[in-house]
Amino acid sequence: MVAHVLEVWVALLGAFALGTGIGIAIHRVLGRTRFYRGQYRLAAAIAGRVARPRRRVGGRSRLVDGGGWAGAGTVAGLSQVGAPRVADEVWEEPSAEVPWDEEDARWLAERPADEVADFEDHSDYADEQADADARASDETDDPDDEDTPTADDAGDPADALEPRGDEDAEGDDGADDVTAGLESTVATESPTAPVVPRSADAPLRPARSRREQEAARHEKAAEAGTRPVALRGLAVGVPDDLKAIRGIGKSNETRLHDIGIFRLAQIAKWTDAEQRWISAYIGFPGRVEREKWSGQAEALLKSRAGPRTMRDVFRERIRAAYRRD
Amino acid sequence: MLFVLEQYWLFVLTALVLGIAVGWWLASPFSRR
Repeated sequence: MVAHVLEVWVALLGAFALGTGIGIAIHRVLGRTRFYRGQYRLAAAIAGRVARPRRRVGGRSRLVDGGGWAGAGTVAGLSQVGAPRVADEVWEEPSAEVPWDEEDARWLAERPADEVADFEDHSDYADEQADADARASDETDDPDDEDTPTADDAGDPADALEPRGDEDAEGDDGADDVTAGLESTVATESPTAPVVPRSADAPLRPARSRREQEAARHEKAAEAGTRPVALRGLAVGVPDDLKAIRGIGKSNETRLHDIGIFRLAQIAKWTDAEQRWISAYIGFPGRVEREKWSGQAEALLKSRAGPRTMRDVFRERIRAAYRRD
Repeated sequence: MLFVLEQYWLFVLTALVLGIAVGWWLASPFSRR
């Protein structure tokens, strides 16, 4: 009986090992045929599927975070990783005729739902406000709430309070700015004062919606320079690790993704006007030029083993300098 | 051994197919680093 059970496992393991060998052989053979590119794409797509949720959960994916794409291209037979990949992808020039809203809508249509939540349209704010008011009055049933808190009447709190870089950290709370405003009002009130919901005749001024903020950012950027070429959709599912550039952190990377910058090759190609545009868009005028993002991207792309991090590039240069002696 | 195959050929076949997939993946550049 024991021998029999062992036999089953031996057979299963043997079959698995045999299959592994066959799989490797299949990959080798296909790699020499004209299907190598399709095979590469399939593997890349799977890798992307795996890497994204892992990253979302909080795990580090070497594919995304460590620049694992670098060696990948050379192994697959693509000598220049950056160049052919970018050429494969769909480059679209953002035309001046398309108003932001339409362009935005098209762009949003291609994005996953949890990311879209951040960009929800609040143009029909009046309806939302009415809903919120109805909900609030249902809860308390207080007919005469004349002296409602009007703290937000002075100035726009969204402008003053919102730090430019930290917007991404908020995550998914962009779903309903109305309730967010209500909560903040309630929270700042003293604990002894009764919580009175605001009425319709003392309307709370809305925080600027994300769309409006985005539009303002675009306007400011448009004054500074020209918008760089955006990339809609990736042929290979995972974007380059833009954080490899010194000066690009997580929030800046997200912001760049938002405007269709996914590849180091894109950054490397920016003109002066485009760099100015990006600086203004990010909210740090002159920063892109000062930190030489384009030069860094170029260096990363040119580095012997492909794009990793700037530190690796520097190390490589130092090593090369010693080698010459 | 033949008896095992007779009874559990489906499992063995599954293991083989899984092995092929894993092998293919291992050989692909995306399993590196």
